[in-house]
Amino acid sequence: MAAGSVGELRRQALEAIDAAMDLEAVQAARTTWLGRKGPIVDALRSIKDRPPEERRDLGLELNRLRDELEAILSEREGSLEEENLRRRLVDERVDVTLPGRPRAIGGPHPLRMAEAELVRVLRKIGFSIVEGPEVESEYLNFEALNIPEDHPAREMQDTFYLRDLPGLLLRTHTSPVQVRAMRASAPNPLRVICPGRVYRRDDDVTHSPVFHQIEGLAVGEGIGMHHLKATLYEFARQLFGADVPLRLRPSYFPFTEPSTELDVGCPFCHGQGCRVCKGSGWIEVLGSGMVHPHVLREGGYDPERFTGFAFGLGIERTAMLRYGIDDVRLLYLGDLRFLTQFQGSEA
Amino acid sequence: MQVLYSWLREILGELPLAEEVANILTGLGLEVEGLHRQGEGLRGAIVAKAADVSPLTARLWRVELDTGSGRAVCVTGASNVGRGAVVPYAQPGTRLPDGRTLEPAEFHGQVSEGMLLSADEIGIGADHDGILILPQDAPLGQDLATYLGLPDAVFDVSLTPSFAQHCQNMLGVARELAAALGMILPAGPGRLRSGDGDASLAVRTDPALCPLYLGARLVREDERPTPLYIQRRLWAAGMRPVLPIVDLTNYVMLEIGQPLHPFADDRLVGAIQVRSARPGEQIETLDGLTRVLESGDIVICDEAGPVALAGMMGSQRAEVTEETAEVFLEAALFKPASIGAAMRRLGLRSEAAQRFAHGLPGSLPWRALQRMSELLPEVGWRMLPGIAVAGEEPAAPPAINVDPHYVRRLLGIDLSQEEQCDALRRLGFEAGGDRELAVTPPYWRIDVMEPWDVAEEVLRSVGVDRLPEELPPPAPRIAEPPSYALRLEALAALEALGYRDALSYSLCDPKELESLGRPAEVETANPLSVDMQALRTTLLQGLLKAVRHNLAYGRQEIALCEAGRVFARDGDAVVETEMLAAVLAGTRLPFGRYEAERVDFFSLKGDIEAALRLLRVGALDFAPSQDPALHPGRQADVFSGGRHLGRLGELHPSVQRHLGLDLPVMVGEFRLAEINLAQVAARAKSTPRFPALIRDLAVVVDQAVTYGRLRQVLRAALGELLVAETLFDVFTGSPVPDGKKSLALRLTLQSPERTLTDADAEAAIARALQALGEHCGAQLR
Ligand SMILES: [Zn+2]
Repeated sequence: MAAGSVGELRRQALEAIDAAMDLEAVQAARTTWLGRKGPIVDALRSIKDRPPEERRDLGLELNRLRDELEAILSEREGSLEEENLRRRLVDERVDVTLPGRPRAIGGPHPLRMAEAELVRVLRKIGFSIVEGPEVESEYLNFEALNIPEDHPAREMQDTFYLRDLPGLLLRTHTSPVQVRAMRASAPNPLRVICPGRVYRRDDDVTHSPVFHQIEGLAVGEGIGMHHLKATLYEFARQLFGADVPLRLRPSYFPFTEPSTELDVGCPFCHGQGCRVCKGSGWIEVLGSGMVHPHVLREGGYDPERFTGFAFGLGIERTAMLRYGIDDVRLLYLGDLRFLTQFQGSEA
Repeated sequence: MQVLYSWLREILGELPLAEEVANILTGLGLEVEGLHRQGEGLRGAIVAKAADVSPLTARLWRVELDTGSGRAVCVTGASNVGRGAVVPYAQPGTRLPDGRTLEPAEFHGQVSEGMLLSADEIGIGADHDGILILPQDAPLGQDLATYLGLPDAVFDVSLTPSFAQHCQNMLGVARELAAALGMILPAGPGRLRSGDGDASLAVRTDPALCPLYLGARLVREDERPTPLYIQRRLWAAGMRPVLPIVDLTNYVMLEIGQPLHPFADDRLVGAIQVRSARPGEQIETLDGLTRVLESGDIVICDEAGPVALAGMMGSQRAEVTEETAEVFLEAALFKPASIGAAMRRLGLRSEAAQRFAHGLPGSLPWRALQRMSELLPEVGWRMLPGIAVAGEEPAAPPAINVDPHYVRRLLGIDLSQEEQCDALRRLGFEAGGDRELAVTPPYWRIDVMEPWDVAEEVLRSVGVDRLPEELPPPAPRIAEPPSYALRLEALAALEALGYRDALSYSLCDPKELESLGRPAEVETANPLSVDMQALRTTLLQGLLKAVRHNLAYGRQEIALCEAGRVFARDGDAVVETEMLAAVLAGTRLPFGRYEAERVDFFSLKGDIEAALRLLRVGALDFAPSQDPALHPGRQADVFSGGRHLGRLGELHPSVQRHLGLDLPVMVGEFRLAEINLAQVAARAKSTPRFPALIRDLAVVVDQAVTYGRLRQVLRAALGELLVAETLFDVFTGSPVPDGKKSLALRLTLQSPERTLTDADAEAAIARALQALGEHCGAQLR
């Protein structure tokens, strides 16, 4: 092979590579031109048949051609691979607005959420949870709490009694748990909260015959009403925000004296007056007071030495306020349209 | 209780604006729940006189009016306007409180220039039957709102029992207000100064039921209507003016709190006696009902029998009518507990009963008679001298001794003894003493008896705003019951698996419990309705009700859970057990692009297994159970470490149909206490050091052989070499012979001591097959 024919070889090879339009054709061209049976290897192999003075230059030329073709082929392969990937990625594109593979999610009841929030705040202030029976003795539900038989306060709490079970009733408040807790702890200082289910013969938009309360009790030597006020204010600020307007006003409960109620500035109208606060700008959140000496004595504490304060609030009411629920009965229907709305919206 | 602003102002002389008064009352504990203004928006109406009245049709009258400065003609449908009557006249252009603006109108050819107004239209009363008749001396042409003092605020005050005793009257409310405003407390009427008892009025009483009974005789001298201001005040209190003498007794009750009862004197026979009713004794009360009495109810009797249910309501027999010219007026004290009990039993919450039930100051009957004697001339009546007296005025309680340190400690306010005395004096108490306070309540405060009552009064007087804020000293925490945390954790586990917490009532229809094979054991004696009669014995009742509710609006993906108590009876006691329940029905996912799996027994079983694992319960065993409410072939008891945790299954098709559910429902219910006991401590095991071998094995067994049994035999045969077995196929039908099934398992074999060889695995499989053949009749497939 003459030196001029290497140029011819190069021309033919470049022509063939140019004509290769896809990766397969490029790889075929590589086999054809650079393969073991290709013309360049062939020519290199036949160098030994050439006159010695030509051998060196021809070898150099052929090797240079081989390197050049190798570079061109690699470059072509690379760009075609890149082109292929680019095309694939286009083909594989999805509509990202199609729905995700759904998972069924569950979640807590708004009442439990409210209860958990109340418990969290009160535990932080130093109270521990106690629980008691829902079927309670008439004595602990009433007499022990300074509500004797003919007391007008019994009217305030219309009671479910039990058939064939004299002396038992469905507790009308969680307060009997306080007496139980006192009896279990006297004469040690006590800080407890009693969340639980209670019952009253009442059924309308704001009253349900079954509902939930949480009550708190602190007993010890030297407990005064200033402690009550600080505890309630701390509780309300944790719950409704540090800047919420607060108001304590005298009230009446048979088991506390003096008694007070705590109002918070209406979160819906910021005190301007609205439907929720009946135009007053205030919302009543809890009842409280200094534990009545009669109740302390029932709990096993000597009222000459010990004093205490107690407070209680309805969990339904708290949930209704916090989540803007207007009918208490919605809380007990198990309606998934209602229950699923407290955790972001359903897909 | 409705409180008229203008009435308070009349008693006290001067007052801040109504909103301010409302705030003060609320701050005192007399919570103002509502504030509305009578006659607000009334503009343009005037006082006029009916100069002439003539019929226009059978039901309409033409009234010619003298407006003071001119004449006008009005048509009215009210029949109570006589010639000469002074009436409220709304001329054309007048705006009424309801927002209407009057225009001239034509009736049967007669143009009516505006209209005459009823009390209701003015906004001061509920009476819309007739036109409001004004006093003869009302100045013609004067603006009606000005004349009536409108708008006038009405406070809707919520009375707690602590105020019901001394503030269920205007004078009481006015006293509280006066104390808060630093004004002199209004004294109220003194005792009637009466001569000796009138022998002609013989009265006997039972001092236990009625410690004091006063009787006065009233005579009519002139016929006069009830003064307009009294009518207005009765209306505002929700009472209806009837007859002047009756209105006056009601008015005195509203004003000072002593209910009074007028009897038509000519209807009484002989002497009056106050006594306990005889069981079964009957009385026809003023409302026309015949009431059956019980021993302990108090009746007022004459010689012909009961004439009044004491403190509650009179009888028809001695009712005062328009003809009555002589009245026997009762002012008495009745035992509060008796009145309260009768009130509750008979459902008779009369204004009088609500006051007697809270107790009255001992001298109040005498004061009420004094007030009556002052007011009687306004309606043309007079009180005869000589009062019949039975019983005795209860003695005033002794002074209360209070340690001023006690008050300071209880309230946490640093108040000197003198400050405490001042605070009490502002409320009308007498207070003094050197080391201890000696406190004497005013006559109207019979509820203040103990040192803590006194402390409360001191607080109310200085105001709760005086309380400092100081957090209580910390106390040791006590151990909390595990139930609370476990309940929330159990719910959270199910919630994580897609279940929604749904609280339901613990009161339900006993029939629903019956149909679930869990009959009620405890029922309420006084249910609101039959569907809230029984205490639940299962949480499933409420959850299935919720399933039905959700299906009814078309939801097909239902997964609900609940934690709560169920109630059983044990002799004379009730046992409360805390349960955790779950129900699952329809599909996991809503209809859509991705496959919506229909749930079945194994869906719920898988969820329960996962939930119990999340709760750290040890290995579970499932055994077929026999619950008639569940599908006989698809239910199981769940055990762990020999403890029965609960049961799950598919609802029996007939129960499902009976409950109105149109698709299969999976249910499960578990005892939280047992779950608690079955929890195992978390402990780390060493991570295996040698590789595991995987071998698949398929065997053919009789249909009756359970997987559970197979697994048990397999585990026994391979011991600790078998670290896991996974069932991956259950197959029946050709080529598996009839009555047989093929089970395919993947076994994971591993040794803690060395790398297993193929020969080890083959030996293990051979051992397994031999045991399975021997105990389960299994053959290699
Ligand atoms: Zn508001």
